[in-house]
Amino acid sequence: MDIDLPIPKQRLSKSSIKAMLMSELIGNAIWLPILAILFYVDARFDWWDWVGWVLWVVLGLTILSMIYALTIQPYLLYKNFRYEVDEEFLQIKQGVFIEKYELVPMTKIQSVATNQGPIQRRYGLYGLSVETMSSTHTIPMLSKEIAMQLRNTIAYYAKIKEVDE
Amino acid sequence: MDYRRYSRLTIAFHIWGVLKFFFFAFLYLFIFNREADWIGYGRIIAAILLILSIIFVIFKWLTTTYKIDEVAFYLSEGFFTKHKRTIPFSKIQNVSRHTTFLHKLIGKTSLKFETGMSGDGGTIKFEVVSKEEADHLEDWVEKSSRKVNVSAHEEEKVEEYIEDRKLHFAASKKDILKASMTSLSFLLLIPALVSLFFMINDFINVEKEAEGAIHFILSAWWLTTLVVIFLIVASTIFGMIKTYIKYGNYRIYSDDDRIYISRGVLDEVRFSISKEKVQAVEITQTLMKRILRIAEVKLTSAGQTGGGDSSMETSSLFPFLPQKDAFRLISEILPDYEVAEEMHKLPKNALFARLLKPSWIWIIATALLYYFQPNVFNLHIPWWLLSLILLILIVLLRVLDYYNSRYVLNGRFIQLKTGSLATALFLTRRDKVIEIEMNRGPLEKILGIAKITTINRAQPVRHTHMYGVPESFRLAFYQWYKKRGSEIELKQ
Repeated sequence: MDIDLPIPKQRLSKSSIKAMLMSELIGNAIWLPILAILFYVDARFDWWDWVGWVLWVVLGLTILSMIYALTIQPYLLYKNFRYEVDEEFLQIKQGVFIEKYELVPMTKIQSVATNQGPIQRRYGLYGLSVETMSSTHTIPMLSKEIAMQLRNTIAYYAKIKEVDE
Repeated sequence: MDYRRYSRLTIAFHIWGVLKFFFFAFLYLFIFNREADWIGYGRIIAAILLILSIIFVIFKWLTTTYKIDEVAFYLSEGFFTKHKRTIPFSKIQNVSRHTTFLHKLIGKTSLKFETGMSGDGGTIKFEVVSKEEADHLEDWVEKSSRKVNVSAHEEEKVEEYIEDRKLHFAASKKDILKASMTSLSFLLLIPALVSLFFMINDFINVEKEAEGAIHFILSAWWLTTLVVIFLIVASTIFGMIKTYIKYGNYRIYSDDDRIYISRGVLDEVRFSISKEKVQAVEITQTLMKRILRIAEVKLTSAGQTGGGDSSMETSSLFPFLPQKDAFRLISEILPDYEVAEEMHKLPKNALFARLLKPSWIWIIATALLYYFQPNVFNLHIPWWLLSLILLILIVLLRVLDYYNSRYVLNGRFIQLKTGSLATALFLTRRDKVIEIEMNRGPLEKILGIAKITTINRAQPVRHTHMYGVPESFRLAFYQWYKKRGSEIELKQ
């Protein structure tokens, strides 16, 4: 259809799917024992009734979100994340359910940085964060080569500033 | 030019501020409570604090200096740690002058240059300067900053530049009268009287005497009527005087480059902004103003117009403009702004979407009502009825918001109008929008609508949303913003 927005061309690195899976696994591996301890403490010290109910609800939600997060979520996140950089604009389209499309002029970018957490390091990935006057935009998982190249490109274009700043 | 101190009178002003701060403490310690045991210590501590404050004021004055050259302000302050700042003129967003009654007595004024940076470091403030010096400073900054931007070819024009200010609006007595009605300022007498009563009551026990007086007044109907009429007249006059003091002498001028707004009778406030630095224009109307066909026009500036004191409202062109004058005034003051009177309504689907969206306020309120089952005003209203009333109100507000919403792209401009009871029309130029965003969820996707957001420089950064535009407009909005590149002026 011609009333749809053009889709930005670039995607995240393919191995970002694996990285996202891994980070979900680790997250759950930390959270589940905590939940188990809470269940134990609740039974041991006879806390109020509603605490038990809340815990069961939390457990239910955790299991549901785990099923989603460990199966299709990483793939959907990867599939729906697109970005594009040219002389004038940085464009980012993201979001599985709620689609968000941002358009940032290069002249308004104040800083750009790459960063790497432990999981990203394991897969040789880098995140890119672009700061503007209003917020920080992140492109989370790129291969090293692309991340560095993109950082330099953005930094080069962003050097040009408008008169009124 | 060397670093120099601010005017010596600054000390006097600061000391006056300190005295005002200590006034009630001293009243309490020295006039009343003469008998209490601890009063001796209290007095000593208060006196020491007072002396320290005054010494601090003097030291601060001694160690704070400034310098001005062709391109920037240089500020230096601090006694133990020296702190130096450079603020180039090109960063200055707006200039404001505040002449308090005290300033008026000695024929001086205060001058503030505001930049887009947040926090204290962003403003340069001259607390006491003579009017001539203030004019000179303002001119100096204006001319110097223009010289930086204009090419050599245009420089001659700058030299020839003659002060040619045009008056666009001066508040008449009728406007002030209307303003005092709309702002309901006549109601202010009641809280003022109440707080006065309690303040006096703290020192002298008035309550007893007042009770007697009230009995006396209520004893005869004609006396009651008289007192009520007197109170109504007094509060109306009070409201008018208050409005007059604040908004009297309201004037809006402009010349080729700047807009000047001044107002106030006892405290004079003057605000000026370069036309190029106006980030957006907004026309707002509260419910009361909509009924009376009055509107407020605000200029959005990236500078700090807040700062705690009353200067917040200075970026507003007169808050009680007749509705029909609002558009005229904008196009007069900002000739390169175009206002489109015709705007698009939202599609029907936008109304469905507004109604279908879950209201978190209602859900939480209902849960709380169910849980606590409060007895409001002892009226024994069941909780579900309260929840229903709330739901109807929320639906009503959403429907109103749908009917009030308007949008249009008009050349380089975008106009967005929103609001249910109070409305706001936002108007900005493409090159002043620093980012855009477009959102839609599954519901919006089915209904073929979207939410668009413009982000503008302001203090803090301003996000303006429009929920429910058709998808075709979303694309138009995207393409509109993409053409931005051809309009912006780049720095070398």
